[in-house]
Amino acid sequence: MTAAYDVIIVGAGAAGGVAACVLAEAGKSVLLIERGRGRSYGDSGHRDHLRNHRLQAYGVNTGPDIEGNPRVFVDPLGESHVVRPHENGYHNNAATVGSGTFVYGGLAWRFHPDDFRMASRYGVPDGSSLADWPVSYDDMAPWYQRAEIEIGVSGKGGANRNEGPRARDYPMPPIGPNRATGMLAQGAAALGLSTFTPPLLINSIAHGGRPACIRCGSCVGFPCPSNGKNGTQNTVIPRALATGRCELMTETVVERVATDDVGRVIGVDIVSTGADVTPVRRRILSRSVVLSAGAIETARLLLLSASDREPHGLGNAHDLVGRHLQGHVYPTAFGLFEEEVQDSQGPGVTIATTDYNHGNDGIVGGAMLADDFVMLPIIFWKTALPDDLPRYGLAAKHFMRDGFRRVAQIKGPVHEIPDPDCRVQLDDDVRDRFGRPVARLSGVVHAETMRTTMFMLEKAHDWMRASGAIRTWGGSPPRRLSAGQHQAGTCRMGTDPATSVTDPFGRVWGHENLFVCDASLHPTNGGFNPVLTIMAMAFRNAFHLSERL
Amino acid sequence: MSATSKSWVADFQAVLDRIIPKDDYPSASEAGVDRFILDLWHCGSEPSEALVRGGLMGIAGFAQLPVGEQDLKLSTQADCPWFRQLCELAAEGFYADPANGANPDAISWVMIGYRSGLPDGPSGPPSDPRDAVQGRLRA
Repeated sequence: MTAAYDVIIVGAGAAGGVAACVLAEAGKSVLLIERGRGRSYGDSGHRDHLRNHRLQAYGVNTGPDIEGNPRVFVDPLGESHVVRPHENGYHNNAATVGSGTFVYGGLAWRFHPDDFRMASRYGVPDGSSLADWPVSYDDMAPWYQRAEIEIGVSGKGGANRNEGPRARDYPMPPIGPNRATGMLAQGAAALGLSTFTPPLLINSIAHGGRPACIRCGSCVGFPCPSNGKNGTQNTVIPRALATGRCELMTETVVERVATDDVGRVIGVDIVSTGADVTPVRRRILSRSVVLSAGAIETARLLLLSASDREPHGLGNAHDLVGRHLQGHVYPTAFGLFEEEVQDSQGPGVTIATTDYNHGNDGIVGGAMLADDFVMLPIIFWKTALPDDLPRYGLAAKHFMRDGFRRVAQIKGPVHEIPDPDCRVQLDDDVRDRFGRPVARLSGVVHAETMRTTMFMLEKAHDWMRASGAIRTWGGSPPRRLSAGQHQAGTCRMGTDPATSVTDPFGRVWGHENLFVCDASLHPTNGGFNPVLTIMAMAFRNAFHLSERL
Repeated sequence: MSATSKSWVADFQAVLDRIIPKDDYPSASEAGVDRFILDLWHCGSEPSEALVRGGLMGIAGFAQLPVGEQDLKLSTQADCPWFRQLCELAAEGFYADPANGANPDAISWVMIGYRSGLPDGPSGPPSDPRDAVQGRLRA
């Protein structure tokens, strides 16, 4: 048997795209497999305000297909529900070249140095699986820098006083303010909080051969009209393809990781998925396999690939694959102002503080707080109205008329305390369109996560009031499973095979040539949007792999 | 259409026009919200038709009442699941992009001051037929 490729990478998202580029540019032959298809603003930029990655009322705009790809969601009362990709409890990620990076808002945070050592700093709360990362901020810093420069981040280096040391400034200046920014800055100053413009993977000026952001009013959840939003689909994946050594195979699902008679990984079994195509199955051989399918599908794939040697799934000898599923709970405070604070100038995130990420008395961790993306009118209706406002009559219509421009919001991603019972398993009964058991998602966030959430909610309200809001409202979601687009943690890396799924470079314990490369590796998920960390980790781990191959 | 279903639709439209009444800006039915909801039900995207029709049956003849009595009647329904669901669907039609069938010329966005800022107009580029599954339920 001859391997057709040095590496097969499963999933062309934030991590898979970076890994393909690093490995192809290092001279390796790469096959990058994506279940979705390549998309552009022209063919997928339609603004359906009811079917997108911010509001999935009746569908989604960048896959996966809503038929044939169910999951089973177990609610907090223990009831199982079969759910489609746009329905509650599915925890969907975009299925397209670039995955979430094609439609994200692009917040580009480096984690705080103490985000990598949560167990050491706070101790391990009862019932949680809180752990340190096997790498430190200092290990990550050069790779963060590569991600900032090579994917393209706008921001001001040194503006975040709580950030770890950085060697270089961002390649682009920050995006400009909007109407709320000044008031929120004054309010923060009155509370003694430091604020700055959050870094974004969005062109504030022409960059990388593509134009600047045009500040449209529907950024997050949609493809970018100017192509000034930097994802892997318009940066590192084209670079990988330009080497001539990387092949991109779209509308193709990896059914399982293929192993030989002694359980060694030899490639993958694929099935083509195009709507008009009769599914065709075949095996592709490679010297190594990298799983970058996201925390839910990467774990599912390991579980689906059981062999005689590993009957419970690859890398799952200790029943760890799929556990510690986490994301970010977001407490949100809304504030009504006398003045107009919303001018629909996108992206909309203009001011943040990281003063509450650590050092909160009696609280484990914390969160970054920031204003948010411009809300679509129907999202404003569904999420931003005060509880006591009637949803009918002129009162409702006039609140929309007078309130849309006068409401600001502050929210933040709480650093979750992982729980081993939040998990991905294979469902016993439900199958996808190819006959494979689907992901079964269960558990609720740890009680400490909710405690931090309530603490951060109060801080968000304080900031809003200090900024001059005449009324504030808004709360926390109920205690439930957290994953979503920030899904992480299901194949945690570590230094001990008994308590982790991979080594500190993502190599699955017990295998020489099987790697995980996505947020599945994160022992904890930071008090920040995780995508820059996912990209930085992919630069680091793919470089390491290129040296081994 | 039978006489019964005609009167059902008349009550449906009348309730919608008290959920989103006319002022300087259109009412729900003037903005096409009634058709938007009927289309959602027709293509199987949204399952509340029986619930809402059951609720409307309880206030049959609503369309013939004077406006003041209509509002009194609705205040007794405010917490009923059928009415809350209908309010939500009405808002979806009224405030979503015009390509969803209601909100012509994005008139509600003018009302609230939302600016799409897109080069192609409020709904952006046309949708891709490859993404349509089951009518308008998209991939």
